[in-house]
Amino acid sequence: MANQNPQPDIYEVNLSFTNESSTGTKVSSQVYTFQSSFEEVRVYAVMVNIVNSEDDDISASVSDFQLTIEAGANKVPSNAFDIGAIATSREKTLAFPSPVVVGFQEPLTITGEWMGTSNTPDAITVVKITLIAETAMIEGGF
Amino acid sequence: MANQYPQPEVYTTTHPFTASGTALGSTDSQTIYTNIAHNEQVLIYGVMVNFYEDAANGNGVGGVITLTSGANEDARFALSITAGANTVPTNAFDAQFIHRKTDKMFTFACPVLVNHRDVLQVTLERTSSTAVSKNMYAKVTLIAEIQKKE
Repeated sequence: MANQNPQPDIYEVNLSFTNESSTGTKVSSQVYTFQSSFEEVRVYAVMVNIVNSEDDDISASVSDFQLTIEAGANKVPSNAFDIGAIATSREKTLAFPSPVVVGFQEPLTITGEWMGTSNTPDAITVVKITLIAETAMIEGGF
Repeated sequence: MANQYPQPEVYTTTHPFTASGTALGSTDSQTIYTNIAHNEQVLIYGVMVNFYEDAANGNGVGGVITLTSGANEDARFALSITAGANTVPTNAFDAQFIHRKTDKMFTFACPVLVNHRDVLQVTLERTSSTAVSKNMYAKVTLIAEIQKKE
């Protein structure tokens, strides 16, 4: 439950790909929004950082990942999308044209998938996903 | 059919190019399935382009190609988007400069509209007569949303 309306929220998940993850390896993580029944979460943007075990940026050499966001039973956006371009850009952030809306009791799941044609080269590759969001009361009552 | 209105959509296409088989004018087209209903339309606001290596040299498989010295010509491609029967924007435009930009994104002055049953295709065409230096693939990402028709 939020302390203000709307309330900015930043959700961070770390998706760890272990040594030599093969093509198609997926790592998922759940985000707990702690919202109440009359609130909704709106995800406006996603930030991507690809680092090694020492938290160094390795996006230049390992970045062919794609991302899936599941809000409840549905994928929103409806397809997985490339995050290598986001990770290698200077802002490292992609703003959606419209927010992803997450309702009460809807699980918010983030899934990363390695898409390179051979195994991940680094011993441990961590894909850090940051969702830039807000929690707000549902308009029109609940 | 969307789950919310408007619904953000991010479409990524992958375009492979080999070092030996990418002559001037070579093209690769990929079709995007929008799965929209008859009362919906897709609005595409921007496009991201990233070129990846599919070879052991340079940054390695899945790494980003670095445009220096001999590899400077590797990203010389033109990008075109086909919505239905038409190319929108009307002409192909340079994909290399988008890859070189720090935000790797190009935003349109107004959105590209894709209607129900309109075929959405992304095409990359080689615009340099120099052979690409290694196997590579381009990923083109369309930043869009599904909206109900006005």
